Amino acid sequence: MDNAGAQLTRLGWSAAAIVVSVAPHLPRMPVWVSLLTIACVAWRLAAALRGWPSAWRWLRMLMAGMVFVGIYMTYGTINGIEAGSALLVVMMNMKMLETARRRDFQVLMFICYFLVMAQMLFEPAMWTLAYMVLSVFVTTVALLQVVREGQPLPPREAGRLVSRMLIYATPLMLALFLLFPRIPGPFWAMPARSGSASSGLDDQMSPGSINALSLSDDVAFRVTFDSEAPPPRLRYWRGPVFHQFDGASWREASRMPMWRSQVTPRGMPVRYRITMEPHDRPWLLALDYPDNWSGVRGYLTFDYKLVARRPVEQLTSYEVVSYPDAIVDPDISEWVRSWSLQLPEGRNPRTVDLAQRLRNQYTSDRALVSAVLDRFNQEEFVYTLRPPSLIGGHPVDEFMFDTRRGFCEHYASSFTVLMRAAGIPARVVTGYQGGQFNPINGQLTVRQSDAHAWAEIWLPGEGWVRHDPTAAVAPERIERGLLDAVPTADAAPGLIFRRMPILQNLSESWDAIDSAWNEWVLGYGPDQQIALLRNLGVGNPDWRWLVAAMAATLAALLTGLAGWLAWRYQPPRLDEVQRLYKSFLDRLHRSGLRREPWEGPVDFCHRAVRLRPAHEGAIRRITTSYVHLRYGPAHCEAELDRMRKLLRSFRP
Amino acid sequence: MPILRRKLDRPALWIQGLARSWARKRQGVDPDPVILHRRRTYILPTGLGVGFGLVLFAMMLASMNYNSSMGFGLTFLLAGLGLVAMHWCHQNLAGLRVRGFKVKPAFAGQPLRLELFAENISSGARYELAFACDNHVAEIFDLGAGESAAVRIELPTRQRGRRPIPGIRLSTRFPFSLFTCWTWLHPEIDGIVYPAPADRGDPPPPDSTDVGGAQDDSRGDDDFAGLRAFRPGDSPRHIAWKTAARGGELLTKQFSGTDVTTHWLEWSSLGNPDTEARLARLCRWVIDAHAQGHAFGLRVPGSELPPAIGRRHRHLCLTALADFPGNVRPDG
Repeated sequence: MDNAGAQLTRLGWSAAAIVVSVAPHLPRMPVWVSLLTIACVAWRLAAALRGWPSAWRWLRMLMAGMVFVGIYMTYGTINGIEAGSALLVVMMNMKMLETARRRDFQVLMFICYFLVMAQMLFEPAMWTLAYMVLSVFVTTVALLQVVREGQPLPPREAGRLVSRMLIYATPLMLALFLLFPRIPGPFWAMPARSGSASSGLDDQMSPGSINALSLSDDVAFRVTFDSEAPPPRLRYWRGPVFHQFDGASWREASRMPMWRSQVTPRGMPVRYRITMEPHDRPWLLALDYPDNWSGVRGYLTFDYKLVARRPVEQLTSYEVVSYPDAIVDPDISEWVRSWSLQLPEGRNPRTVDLAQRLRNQYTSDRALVSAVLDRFNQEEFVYTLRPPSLIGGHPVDEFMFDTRRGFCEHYASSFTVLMRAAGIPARVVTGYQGGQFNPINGQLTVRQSDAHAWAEIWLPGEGWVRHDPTAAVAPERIERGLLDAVPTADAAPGLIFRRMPILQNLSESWDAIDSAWNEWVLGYGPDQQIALLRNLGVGNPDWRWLVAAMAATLAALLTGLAGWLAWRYQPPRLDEVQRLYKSFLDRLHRSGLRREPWEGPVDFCHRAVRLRPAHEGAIRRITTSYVHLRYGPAHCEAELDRMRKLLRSFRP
Repeated sequence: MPILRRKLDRPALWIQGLARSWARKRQGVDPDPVILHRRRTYILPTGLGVGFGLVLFAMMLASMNYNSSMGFGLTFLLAGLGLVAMHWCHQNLAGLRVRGFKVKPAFAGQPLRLELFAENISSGARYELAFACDNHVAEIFDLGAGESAAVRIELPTRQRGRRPIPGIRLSTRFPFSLFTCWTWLHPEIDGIVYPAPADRGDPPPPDSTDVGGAQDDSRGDDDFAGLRAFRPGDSPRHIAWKTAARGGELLTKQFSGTDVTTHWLEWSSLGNPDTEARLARLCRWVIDAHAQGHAFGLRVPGSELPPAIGRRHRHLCLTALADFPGNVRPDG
């Protein structure tokens, strides 16, 4: 039964399934994994075509051991999605080398399903939905072919069968997706993914160490305002706050005080909801100054940044109430003051010197601050995304007095150093500034390219006050965003495209779709399930209601499916002649006369006439009509009509 | 490994036997054209199906752990696919028509041939239908819409006698072998196993008891006496083929001696005390007598078949031999 052709078809489909399920993983994996995959698939196909014997057993074992070690050496672990999926890929390659029996192929197909799963965990963007459907289709056709007894089905028939099954499976999937009770994970620690999320923010900042800011167009988070949105110049989204300076780099406070801050509300609150893309760091961005938040487990540190208890590894949605006008820390403790005045000894002497000269010149802190900002504004400072590198030992001096070209980090850093040198407590705050309103769904989209750095100084009686020295140099950066602040040559291709009106429209629509996808599909969880039930009219829903609703929906769907399949499989409808004759036979049968399976209509007619002489005429005429209509040369409407009439009055 | 398999298989077979007798009790004997109603098709997951379930469970754990909606989506799509496969598998059998159950008799040692027809009277194709009887599997086949197929299952035999057909199992694992759906058919038939014929030799003794008429010494096959119309049961070697080939009706040549070459094949004429050996010898005689076109009668203790010719007569005689009591051990 198993001939070479069937085996080759199986191999071909398995190879297709493997290629489809492995392909999206390969860019993340070391090159040797790709080469190994290609080599193994090619070798197996060639071996099947040419009839080569399978590789020696010990050689396969040796190779399996080697690739295992290879994966461990590359990733340093075999845990986690990254190393795990790489391990799956290479092990599948090894399995491919020895596939001969049906069971081997089945195992291969199950591994393919797992790889598709890994891809879903890696990249839950919208296009992966299309990828999922495609890869499940190919893998399922392959599964159908490899488990099949006898000759493989023709590809078109197999494809049609599987697509029909997938269509029938879709309502079941939707019901399960909506109603299967979601238990919020995680159950065990997940090794962090590396490089899978990009962020414009970091936990340290070294102005001048990189000479070009890479502007990623990726979305950082989206904001839906419940109250009126603040104007652009007030949209400062607070991220990591830096206190420690070593002369070149800024870091967060090394020892975090244990107490949590509390904002005293003042002025009008801003209410909004943030849907944050995963960035693998714990920061939750919020407008200054967050007072109240829900939807996420987090806390407010002493420097007013909102931090989640776990790194944000999935799409996270939370609601915040902020008070932009709140006064924070009218009094500060001695050690916060000492942190906020810390400067390394002997670094950047020219800047320190300048600060002391200004201090002597201006007694009031406010006057000093505006003098510094004026300086940035009036002297030859240039806002650029491609500043020269600062390679000397005194990068702030170099920037302030020599190059004078830089972006937000440079300005925030040197401003803070100046303030500290002048005896004013100051710190660098990073985060995002601005964002773009999408007119389609009214959401504010903040991208990685909106990452920004500014400064905060502490003034007696006023508490911490935000000052953005970049605004002094390039006010349009703050008012209108990065797009208008940098020359065209500086900007990344994505930014240039966004300037074209048609593309801008397209990109806004896409952004709205993407956001809806995030909210309704990726962000679907226990809360949304409960909300769905409440919309369906359940008074006080909990998970038991969910289970009941799921069971009821599934039962209804499966009954419908069974009925539909039975309907599709029912015998084809008879034409009218056959139906009339059948009713003739049925009537005779009811009167106790049954046509035997081997009896033709004419033979049966003879017997029927003998046994039911009273109806001889009708039986003969009906049979004659039937024979004419069914076996005669042409269709005759008059004959059919006669048969209908005869049957109407036929009562044996 | 084979030993372990056998040990694992035995309770499975036992359970299968129990399930079959339960199905038999529930369904009764099937009429000849039987249409498989969905209430008599049973379904269970296979080993691969259980494996698939475990894969789905692992996927669901991963989705929960990473709170991945797309992961849930994939898991539920595959789960839906499994459920669809289950219904499809069930539908693959439901509504199929099976008819024409027949068991061709065989001599002991040769396989009995169980024959039947599977007819797909519906408008959808059916795949991977496997008929089996007593763990002897027929070739697996597909049936397109409206198609039918003849199925043959060979059942090995060892002893003469009646061989009951315990029930025919029709199963399918289509589409993905995740589920196996099956039904039991219980047609009212059994197989007849003739005794294995003895070797050639020892021709029947000349008739000692002469019943109704003198022995005609003038018998002979070449004594042509004339033609008469063909009647079912006439030996093919006596048909006037030349006449038939010219387009005439089918005629049988009559020989003057034919109706008087009557043999009685008798149990009592054999001296061998072994029942089975006697039956084997009688079986050989019946076969030879039929092959030579002789009319013959059979007389064994308990039954007597008057002389006749034809295949039906041969069958009746051989059945009488097959049914002869004392199948288990000859007592003597």
